[in-house]
Amino acid sequence: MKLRLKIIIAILCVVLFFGNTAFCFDQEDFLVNHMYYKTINLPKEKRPKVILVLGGGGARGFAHVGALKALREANVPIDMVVGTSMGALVGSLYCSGVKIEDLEKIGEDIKWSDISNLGIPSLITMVTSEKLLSTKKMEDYVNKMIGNKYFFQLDTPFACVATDIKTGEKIIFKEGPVAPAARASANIPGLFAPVEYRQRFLVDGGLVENIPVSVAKLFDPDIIITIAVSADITKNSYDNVFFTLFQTIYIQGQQSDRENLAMSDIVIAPKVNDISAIELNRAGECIDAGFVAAKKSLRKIKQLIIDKTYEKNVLQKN
Amino acid sequence: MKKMCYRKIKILLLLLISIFVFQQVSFCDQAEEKVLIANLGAAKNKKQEKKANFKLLQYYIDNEDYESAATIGELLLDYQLSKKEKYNVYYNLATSYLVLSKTEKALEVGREAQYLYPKKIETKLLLGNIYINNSLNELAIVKFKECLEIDDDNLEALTNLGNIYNFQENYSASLNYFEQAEREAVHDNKELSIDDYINMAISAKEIGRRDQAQAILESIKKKNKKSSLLLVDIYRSKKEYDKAIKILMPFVYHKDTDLEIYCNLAQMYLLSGKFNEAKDLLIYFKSRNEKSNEVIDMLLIEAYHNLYHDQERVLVELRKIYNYTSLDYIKTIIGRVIAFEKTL
Repeated sequence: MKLRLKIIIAILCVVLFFGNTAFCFDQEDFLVNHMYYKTINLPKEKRPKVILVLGGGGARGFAHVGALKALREANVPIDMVVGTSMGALVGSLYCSGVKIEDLEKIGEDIKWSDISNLGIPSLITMVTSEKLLSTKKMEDYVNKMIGNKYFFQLDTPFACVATDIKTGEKIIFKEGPVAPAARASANIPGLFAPVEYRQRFLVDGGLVENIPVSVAKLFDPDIIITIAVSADITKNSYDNVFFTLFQTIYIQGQQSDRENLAMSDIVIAPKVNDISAIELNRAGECIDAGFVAAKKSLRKIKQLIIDKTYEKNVLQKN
Repeated sequence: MKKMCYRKIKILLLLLISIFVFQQVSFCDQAEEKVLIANLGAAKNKKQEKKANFKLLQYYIDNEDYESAATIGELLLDYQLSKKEKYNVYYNLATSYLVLSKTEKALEVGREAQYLYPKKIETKLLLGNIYINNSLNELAIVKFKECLEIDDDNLEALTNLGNIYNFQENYSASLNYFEQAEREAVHDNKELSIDDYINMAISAKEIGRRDQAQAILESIKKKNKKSSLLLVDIYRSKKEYDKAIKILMPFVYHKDTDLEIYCNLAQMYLLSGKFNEAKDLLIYFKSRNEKSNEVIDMLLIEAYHNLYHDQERVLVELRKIYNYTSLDYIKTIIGRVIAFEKTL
C-alpha cells in the first residue's frame, strides 16, 4: 500500500481506538487523586490503619505478588499484613522487605521440589508406607530469603494463621521465628506431615480460616483490604479419593470465606479460579491477574482512605 | 539604496517563477485527467473503454480522489473482467470505501478481493483494517495473524495487533506485538508512530512495567500532550515531581490553555512544596479564563493556605466554591476539606 494511504487508514484506526478511551480530563478523578496524595503523606497517627489480608490458594496465591505491586505503585500505605497458607508465605517475604521484583522472579522459577520433597518417588513411598511428605524445604527456603528473621524484626508487621490438627484450634502467629510459622500456615494436611511447634501439630490455616479477616480485625484496623484467591469449586474434579477429600474441604471452607469477605472493606478478586492450587508453572499468569485486579480497585481504595482519614480525625477530635 | 532595490527585484522574480511552476504542475495534473477522460470518450469499443477506465481509476487512486475512484470502480464491475482485473477493481474499491468511511461496502468488496487471491498479504492487511473499522476486532486479529504467517516481520500487522490487543485490555499480548514491531522498525530503519508508542507505553504500564513505559515515553522525540501526561503520571507515582514539571512547562510557554496541563503542573508544584510557583501559575490561568473552575480554585486555595496559613480565608473560599459548583462529588469533597481544615 502507498505510504500516504497507509497513514490515512492508520489515522482512521487510531480514531477508532482512541475515540472511546479518549483522554478526557476527569476532574473528579483528579481531585480524588490529589486528596489521596495529601492524606497518605499525613503522619501515621492521622491517617487510617490499613491491614492487607492475603487468602490461601496454593499457586493462585502468586496473585498476591501482582496485587502488592499495584498497591505499591499507587503508594497505598500498608500497615500490616495477615495471611493464610500461600498468603502467609507471600506475606512473610513481603513484610521482611523482599522486593516485589524478587517475588516475581520467585514466581517464575519456583518448583514444588524447592519447597517440599513432593515428587513421584516420595508419592509412591507415601502411598505404600503411609508416610506423609515434608515441607522442611519450605522453611529453609523462607529463611534463605528473609535471613532467619523473627516477627519483631520485620519491616512491616505480620501475622499468619495455622490449624492445630489435634484440637482444631486456630493458631495465630505474631511472634517468634517467621519461617516455621509461614511453613505451618501453608502445610497442606493429608499430603504433608504436620509441623511440630511448641507441642502443637500444625497444618494449613485454610482449614479454619482461609481468608483471615476476623484475625485482621483483632489488630484494630481502619481499613481491611482482602485479596481473595479461592478456587471456583465448581471447576474442581472429584474423580478420585484425593480430589474428593479436597473438594469437601473446599465446600466446608466456603461459608467461612463468605463471612470473612463480607467483613472486608475492599475485596480484590484476581481472575485465577481456573488455575489449580498445584500449578506453580502458572504463577506468572497469577501475578498478572493480581496486578490487573488490584488496579481496578485503586479508585475505591483511594476514596476509602480519604473518607476514613476524615472519620478518624473528626471522631478523635470529638 | 541600489542594493535594496536589487534584493526586492530578486524576491519578486522568485515569487513569479514559483507561481508559474505551480500553475504548470496543476495544469499538468488537470491536463492529465482531461486526457484520460478524452481517451475514454474516444474509445471505439468495450475493450478500449475498459482500458481507459482502468487508467482513470489508477489516476484517481494515485491522486487520492477516492470519491471519483469509487465511481469508476463501480462502473468497471459492469465490464467483463479477468481474474486479475477483477481483483484490481475490488482492491481499489475496498480501499476507496474504507477511506470514505463506507465501512460495510468496504467489507463486502474486500471479501470479494480476498476470495480471488486469498494468499495476498496486502489484501489481508486491507481486510484487517476494514474489520477494525467495522469493530470486528476478533476477525481483524485473525487477518493480521495470517499476514504474520506469510511475513512474520510485517510492521503494519504487528502494530495493528498491538493496538487491537491494547484496546481489548489484553496488555501482555499488546506489549509483545509492539516489542516485535519496534525491533522490526529498528531493523528497517523506520519508526513507529507516536500513537503506537503511546499504546505500547500504556500496555507496559498496565502490566506493571512502569520503568519500561517510562523509557518508551521518554524516547519519543516529539512528545504530544497525551504522551506527556502519561509520562507525568509515571513521574508522579515515583514522586519525581521536578521531571514532571520539566515536561509540562513547554505547554505553558506555548500558551496552551488546556485545563489538564495546568492542573497537573500546579499539583506538581504543590507536591514539591513550590507554593509560590503554583499560586502564580493558577492566577495566570484564571486571568486567561473567564469561567471559574472548581479544581483550579481548590488548588489555588491550597497554595494560599501553605503560603499564608490563613485558615479562615481558606474556609471562606471553599464555601464560595461549594456554592457555585454543580458537581456533587466535589461538593462532598469540599465539605470534608472544610472538616479537615478544622480538625487537622
